[in-house]
Amino acid sequence: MDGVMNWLTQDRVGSALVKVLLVGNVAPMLVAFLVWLERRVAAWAQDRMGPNRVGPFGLLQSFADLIKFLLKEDVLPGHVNKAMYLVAPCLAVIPPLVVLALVPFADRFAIADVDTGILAAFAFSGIGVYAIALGGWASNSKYALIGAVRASAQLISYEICLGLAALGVFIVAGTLRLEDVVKMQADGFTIHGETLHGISKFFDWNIVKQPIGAIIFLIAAFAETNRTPFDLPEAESELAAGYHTEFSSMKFALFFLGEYVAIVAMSSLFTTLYLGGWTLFGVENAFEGTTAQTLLQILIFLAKTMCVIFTFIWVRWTVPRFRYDQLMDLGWKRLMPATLAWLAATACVVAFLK
Amino acid sequence: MPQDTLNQDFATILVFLVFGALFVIANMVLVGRLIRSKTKYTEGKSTVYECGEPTFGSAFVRFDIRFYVLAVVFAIFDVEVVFLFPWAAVMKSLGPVAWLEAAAFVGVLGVGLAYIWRKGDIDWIPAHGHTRQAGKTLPGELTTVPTDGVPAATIPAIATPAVAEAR
Amino acid sequence: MDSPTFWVGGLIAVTAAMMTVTRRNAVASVMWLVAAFVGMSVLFLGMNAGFIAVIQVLVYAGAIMVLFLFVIMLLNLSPAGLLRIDRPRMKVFALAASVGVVAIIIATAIRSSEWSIGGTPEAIAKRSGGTIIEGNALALSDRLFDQHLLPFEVTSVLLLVAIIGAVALTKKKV
Repeated sequence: MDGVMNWLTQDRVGSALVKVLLVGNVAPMLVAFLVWLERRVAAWAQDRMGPNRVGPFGLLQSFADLIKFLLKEDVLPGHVNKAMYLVAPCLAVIPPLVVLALVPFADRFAIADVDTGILAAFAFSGIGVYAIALGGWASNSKYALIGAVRASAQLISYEICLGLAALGVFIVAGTLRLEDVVKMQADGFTIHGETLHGISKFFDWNIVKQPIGAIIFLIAAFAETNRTPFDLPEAESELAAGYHTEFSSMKFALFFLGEYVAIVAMSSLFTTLYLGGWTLFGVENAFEGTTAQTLLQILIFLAKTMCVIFTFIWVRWTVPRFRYDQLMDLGWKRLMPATLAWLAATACVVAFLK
Repeated sequence: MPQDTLNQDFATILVFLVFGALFVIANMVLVGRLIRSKTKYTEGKSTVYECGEPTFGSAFVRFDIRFYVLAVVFAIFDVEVVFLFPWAAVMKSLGPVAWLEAAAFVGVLGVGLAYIWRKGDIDWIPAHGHTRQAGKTLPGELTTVPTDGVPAATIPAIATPAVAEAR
Repeated sequence: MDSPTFWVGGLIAVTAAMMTVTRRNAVASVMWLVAAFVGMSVLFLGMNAGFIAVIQVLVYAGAIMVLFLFVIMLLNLSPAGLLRIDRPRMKVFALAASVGVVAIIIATAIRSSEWSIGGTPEAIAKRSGGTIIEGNALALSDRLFDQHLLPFEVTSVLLLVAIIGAVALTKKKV
């Protein structure tokens, strides 16, 4: 028994397997909770009850929905391109899930700690475009195709801003490894030669050092995950359901899941880059060197990520949808020059003042 | 052995990829098939969903050329971002020289951004409030009417009058 | 030769590349090409070039292929309406040409003293007479912004020309 435990926690292969299974299972669970949260917050924002019948506070609603999705007929329409029609939902889920593999949830607890972590994360989230483009194209439906074209143009437009905004963090950090970025935010900054302590460690967080970058990153993240105010790909009043109009049963559920996993992935990236990741003013080291420490750090990380996710939901029920030309204007003519200017300023400060 | 561990980490990503694929396939194909009840296949289920309207033509239509420009510009700026990431990592150690190097690089590409801005390739025409210029169409608008076997008279006008005139 | 990354990456890349050229549906070809690029990025990993491997996915699979997909959609290629080339003589010629090219590549590779499957870091170091090169981002950027500064700056001009070219292509009058 001890041998097994050792293998699972110490051995590289064993611990990797544990992490893969842990993250791979927790992420969908988190999505189930997130869908419930979204509906409850929506109800709260609109002054109604929301789902409250299945389980306590309606918490099991998502599982009821899942069972319903599983039981629904899986229609394979005759007019679709079969191979691509089946590939699209897979591509919707797998890339954002893999992004989660690169996020450090606690000290030395990233599934894959690679030295170009952030680029790998962007690379995989970039693959997500294919799910939408293929989903719309394979459906052979005009609504779906228009939704897909809109969506892929939107995604590629904001991907640049996302990358450029994140660059500021790495200029300040001087590394591309996400774990180091987190550590930089815990103990990297000094004022008059004195390291910050306690609550004032907040000023180490990148959201303080990179406020504009953080805002642009968040806006681009909204656009990348097709959230309101950027939910034009599935603007239901114009496009039926957009690129997944023709998908039914679990295939639709996978698109749905992929969208929420992408939100979780983007929120955890935001937490890592700007909110200090798994650190919290030194509290994270409360149980030095034990498993409890790792658990505490994961909890801190999850709590911060939930705050970001709440912002996603909050914005969704506050801001109305953009028109397409406004969306493109914002991306290319506002955010892009703003990001470049911010980047130049950041680099200038780092290069000339330090 | 940093490189060795690096490859192991990438291998873990591969494991995670496989896990994700299994998860997706299990959900999409297996589980549902086992518990789902048999349903009858009817003709109506295989039709395109267009909110009850009878569908016409194929959905494989040509769309606006500006999406091509957008994709090219995206690819180019993506390369720019990729170049800037390693720069950001060494920015601190190289100092002002690195700043000037990157400024020159981004500056030249900034000219590119200004060029497409000036040429109107990132202009999307507002849906209302402005008169639409002749020959320009909205993104996603069907610029060619699909005609595979459908009599022209049954095809509702998709292109707006302004566009039709320009053609 | 014994490097597992080489065999995994090579298998993915070659299989996907074969599928790319044999598919009649252009969109399917694009997707297989994406898979081929992922395979190539695994090959880069085997050569200690983690950074290039990531870039391969980010730029080629994530950006260039999106461009391809857009162009194919622009071209109005429905799966049913694709051309079928039924010219038997053409097929024979194409087959002969491709066999010839592959034969030349293999012959060159075998004759070359640098013939080594895998190109493992050790093999590359041995060949170039140097030490094992760190393939990470920091090592790369040290060289890029120091020794190879001019090519880096010229790249920006090249990219600018590409933007202007793309815009010019889509205009009737420039």
